[in-house]
Amino acid sequence: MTDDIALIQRYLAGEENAAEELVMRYQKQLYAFLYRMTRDMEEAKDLTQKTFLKAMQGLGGFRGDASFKTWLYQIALNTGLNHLKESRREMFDIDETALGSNGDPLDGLIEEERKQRIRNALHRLPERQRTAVVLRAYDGLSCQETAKVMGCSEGAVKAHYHLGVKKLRKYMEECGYAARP
Amino acid sequence: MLLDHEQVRTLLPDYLNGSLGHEARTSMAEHLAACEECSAELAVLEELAGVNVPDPGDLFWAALPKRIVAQVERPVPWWKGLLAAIMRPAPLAAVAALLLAVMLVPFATHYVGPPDRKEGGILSLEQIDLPKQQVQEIARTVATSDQEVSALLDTDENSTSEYQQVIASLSADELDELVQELQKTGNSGGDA
Repeated sequence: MTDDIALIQRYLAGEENAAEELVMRYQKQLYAFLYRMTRDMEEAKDLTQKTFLKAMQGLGGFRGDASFKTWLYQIALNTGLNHLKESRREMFDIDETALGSNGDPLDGLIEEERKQRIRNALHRLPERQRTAVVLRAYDGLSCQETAKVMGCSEGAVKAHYHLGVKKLRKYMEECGYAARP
Repeated sequence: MLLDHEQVRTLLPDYLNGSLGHEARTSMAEHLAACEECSAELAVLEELAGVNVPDPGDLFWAALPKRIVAQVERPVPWWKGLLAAIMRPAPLAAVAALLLAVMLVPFATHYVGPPDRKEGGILSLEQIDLPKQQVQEIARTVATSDQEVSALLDTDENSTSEYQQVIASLSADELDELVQELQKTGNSGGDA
């Protein structure tokens, strides 16, 4: 498989197919990341497109200090956060009805409800902790890559990540069930 | 490879997505079997991994790359940008005017223009190319004229001082009479 830098050089030399290949390579990952930020499919689709447009237009300025993937995630994170700020929404808005303590959570628990609760628990985390957990657990970024995306130190990433996972455990236990062994 | 508790906690996502090497993976498995806290954290991550993201569909994935390439404004090489800027109507007219001016310069070299009046204004005799005798003659004439003008000025100065002495010797009544006479003379135009 051609590496990202070679594709970037081919695109800058005028080969449009190279840009399409770059988009195809990362579009699903970025969409999933942005969906986890917004919890809205249409917004995530729109933000994915915006992220790639920004990336392609700024490709001439890509210096290669970090990997292209890390750089893309940086743009996606900023695009997503700006969008949430503009739409005056919290990144962690919670569907309280799904997380409420009405009724016994074990009563009639189905798989979808379980997933919804985990999703909500994730959205209850503060922004930095949630970003660290999502980037590490879902997107498979290393601590170093996550630090570059978030613009902080590796130590800070580890702290955000560990605190986030600890709180998730607590929320899940509060909901009446422990994580499945 | 022996991994401590913190290292294992940090590497749990990598363990889950299978990106660790064989040795690290074995060490992680050993630690997880013995550490309740780490295995509980792994279970949380597994729960997270089980939460799906809705798929926008194949049509979206197929169209997105082409849509982005079609919308993106490609970086333009500097020489193409310069050419595009020059080929606009206004800069083109400016370039044409400049070329015309350059072409007309050889025809305009014999025109000297007006004398510079800032430095001295009128040309001195040395600057005019005349024979030496003629220059001396002009100089003498100018000197003579200056003497005559001085003589005239001296005469006027003397006359003025005589009038001043006469006026100073007049009494108040005589001065009033003189003023009245002068007023009459002024009214009648001076020759009456």
